[in-house]
Amino acid sequence: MRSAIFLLLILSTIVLATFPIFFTWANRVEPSFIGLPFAFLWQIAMALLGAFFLACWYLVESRSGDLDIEVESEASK
Amino acid sequence: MIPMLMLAGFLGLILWINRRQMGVKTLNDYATASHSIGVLGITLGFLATWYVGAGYTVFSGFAVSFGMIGMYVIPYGIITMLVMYLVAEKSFIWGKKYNIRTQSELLGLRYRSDAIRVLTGFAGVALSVPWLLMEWYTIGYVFNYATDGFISPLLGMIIGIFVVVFYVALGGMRSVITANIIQGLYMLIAGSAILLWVIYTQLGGIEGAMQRILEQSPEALTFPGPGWDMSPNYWMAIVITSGLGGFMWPWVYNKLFAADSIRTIKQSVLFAPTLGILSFGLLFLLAMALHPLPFAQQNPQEAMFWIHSQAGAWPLGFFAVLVMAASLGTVSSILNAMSTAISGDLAQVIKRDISEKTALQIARWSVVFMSIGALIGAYIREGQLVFLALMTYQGMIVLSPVVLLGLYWKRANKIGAVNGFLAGMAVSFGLTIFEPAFIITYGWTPGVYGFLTTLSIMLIAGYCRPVESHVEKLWQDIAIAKSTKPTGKLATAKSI
Repeated sequence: MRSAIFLLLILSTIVLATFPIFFTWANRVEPSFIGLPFAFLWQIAMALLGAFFLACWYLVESRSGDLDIEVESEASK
Repeated sequence: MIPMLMLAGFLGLILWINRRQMGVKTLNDYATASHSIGVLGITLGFLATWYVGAGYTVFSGFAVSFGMIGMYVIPYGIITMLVMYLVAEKSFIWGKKYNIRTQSELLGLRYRSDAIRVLTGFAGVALSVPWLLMEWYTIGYVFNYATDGFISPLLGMIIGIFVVVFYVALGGMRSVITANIIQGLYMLIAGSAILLWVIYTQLGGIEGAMQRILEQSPEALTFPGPGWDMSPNYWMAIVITSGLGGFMWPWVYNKLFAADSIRTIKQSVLFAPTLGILSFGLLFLLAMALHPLPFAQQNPQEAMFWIHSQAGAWPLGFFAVLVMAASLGTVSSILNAMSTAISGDLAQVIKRDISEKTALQIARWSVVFMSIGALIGAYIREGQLVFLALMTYQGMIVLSPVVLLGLYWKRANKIGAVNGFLAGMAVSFGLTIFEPAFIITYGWTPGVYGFLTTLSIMLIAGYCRPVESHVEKLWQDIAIAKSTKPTGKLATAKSI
């Protein structure tokens, strides 16, 4: 369930950055910031948001001990 | 003279830093460094491998010509982050438990099929060849440009081959990662610094450069860019195909098997694409800033070298080393992965009683022969390399349903995987070669249709047959591994 929520949030940022309906809306020059057009800023903002959700997912997994897995190797080939 | 000395110094550093890594004894160690690499090595290994030298010539040339299109690296990086995060756990657990060395071996285990192993192994090698050729050519080009024609492209390629073959054949994955750390650190720190320096000293800073584009060519600030009429579907298609296909390359994927823990991989997943987005975002920003300049317009692929040469010998030297670092990182990883695939996924499947020593020798000699073959290919077919390299992405994305469904869907089976993969490839390359009108008018790249074909066939085949018995055992491996985790504090202390 927890993974599904994070997955959904990250997929949402990808949809907002790429799907034609959202992309076309964001594909404009104004409003700009330090000369960067809105089209760039939108892509950067979605990437940062996606990275933020992924970092949260990692922290949640890390705190719950899900990343501390030990694997026994079978006899070498 | 300064750029030539800097290139020689950088190559010397790569060899010197690898001097203690040359004693590899088994194919397993050659291919995975015995699952011993930590977060720094995996992060910078991903970075140096994934971002190619041609990004600074051919691909930045697209941004010089068309502006905004270059920013596709940003959303594509996020998709790759997500794919890497999703495949990390099962790839690592099965990889370590069954001593897996390649992506194809993993797929062979998951689908219990030699056919899928050989098929994906062969496809991985064949689709990587154009990239190997293009990166060799880039290495030759760097030497030629940086020395003002003193070193010919052919001689430059030979020098590059000598260095790479030496450390890859003798040191395997351990040497590749050690070199990747130097290459990745250089790309991040010195590379980003020189790009920023050139933006501020030659183009009036980010604001000044963007203002110039706004005044002279405002259409470059939005998609699709000047002189190009393309549907927004094309943006979605290139971002998704690059994002899904980018991590399917065997030379990127195999870094998962070299990691020492899942924590290492997941930390690297957070760092590598984020650092890559910053680094390549900066590169494409500079490339777009060059758009209004007449020389850059007429010579888009040469534009990045040209602006650095305008800034002086030192900036040109720093930039030449940056491109060399990116190229060597990719070439060394391709050679390591291809030689492992030839030895492990082809030779050892055809003749199962090959000893580890013989398998290692096959891998090492594969590096030598592939390098010489690629040198000849790069020299003869230079003009067609970009086209071939871009075409390979249309094939690579077809592999993603085979990998992702294999890892997450118990019903995915070998009949669906083999038939789906073959049909997807046929659709993807058929549409690429014949290019029917709807490809241009609708905007989706051929790989998207290939991807959908593979996905559909795998889903249908999955629902037509019961779950295979060995799959339950593999899922059980994951459950057992997760249930036997050590106490949190101990594990954290160990990872630090």
